[in-house]
Amino acid sequence: MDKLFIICGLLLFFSCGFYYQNGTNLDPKTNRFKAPDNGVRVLTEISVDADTLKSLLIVPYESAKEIAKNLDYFDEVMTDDQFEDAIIKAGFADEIGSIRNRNGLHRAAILFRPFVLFEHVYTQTGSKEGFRLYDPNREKIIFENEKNIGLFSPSNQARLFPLYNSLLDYLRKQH
Amino acid sequence: MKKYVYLVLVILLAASCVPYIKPKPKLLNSKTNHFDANNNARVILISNVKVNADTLKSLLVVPNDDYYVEMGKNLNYFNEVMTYNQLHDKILELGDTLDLRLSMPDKLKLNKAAKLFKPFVLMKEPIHQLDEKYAWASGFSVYDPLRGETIFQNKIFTKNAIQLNNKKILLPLYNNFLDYLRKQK
Repeated sequence: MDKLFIICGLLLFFSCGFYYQNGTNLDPKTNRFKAPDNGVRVLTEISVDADTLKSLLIVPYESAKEIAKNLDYFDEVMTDDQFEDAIIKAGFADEIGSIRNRNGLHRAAILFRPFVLFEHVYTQTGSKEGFRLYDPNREKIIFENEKNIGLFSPSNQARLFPLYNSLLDYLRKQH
Repeated sequence: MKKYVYLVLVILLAASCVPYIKPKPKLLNSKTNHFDANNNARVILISNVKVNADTLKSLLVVPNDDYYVEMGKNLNYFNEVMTYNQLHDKILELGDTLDLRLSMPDKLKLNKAAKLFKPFVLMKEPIHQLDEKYAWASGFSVYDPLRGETIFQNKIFTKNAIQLNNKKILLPLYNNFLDYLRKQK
């Protein structure tokens, strides 16, 4: 009974411990996010033109926007629905039709402006996660990385920092 | 013993239903030309965009609930008021599709629907949530798919998460919305 109590206490401690939010800014000394680099595997990387790459990043939700901005790489960052508003305001709604499918995304990249899509991907078993950058102009994934999600992985943004650092390395390589 | 258990169960069930019981739609007070409400001064205007009144009045699309339909009509402003479901059916009738069940509907398709059918503005379901400073609040958000922007947004602190009360919360929000509508030309 006592052992169970201790184990529960430890588990609770670990789960609370990781709730502390690290800042989401780059560490000025290393120019990267504060995180160990081990465990990240790069699955895909394609060389692309940096000027086109930095033009615009589209993220799926508002909370991803803050970290994306802190990458200090892209000229502009928007969520999907802010992008839809921008398309309507620019008068391209009819020609593009919808950006909720691959063809629409391709049309938007050609007719409106270049952009890349950011995705946070989980495997079906839930044991791995990673980031993906999709280029709708080439209709290809230009960057993809992954790492294992351990049993005691923190549930806050700090868990993603190694993945962000790996993404940063890729972005900075482009010219 | 069993009787007490049943009583407690019934009370718990009733309590869980409370947040979902909508208040009754009210009419404008003919003297004040507003809805009778307690907290009008508590409403915070977050955004308002100047728009053309004729286009604005065309059609208001509201969440699928009689309360929002009746209140939409009781504003005495819009030429027509429809629910999300009714708009979906109308667009289907006109040969296209539109899915308003999504929490983030396809705005480009909304734009297309407004051109296919007629100009409309979309009112989002006022939900209780914690704002950026962790205070419970609710409010209206009205989106114009032809402009590609939210033309009106307001907010009121609700102090608890339990019920969207008419006098304290919804009617003040409606009064504030009414003031915006009447200002447009």
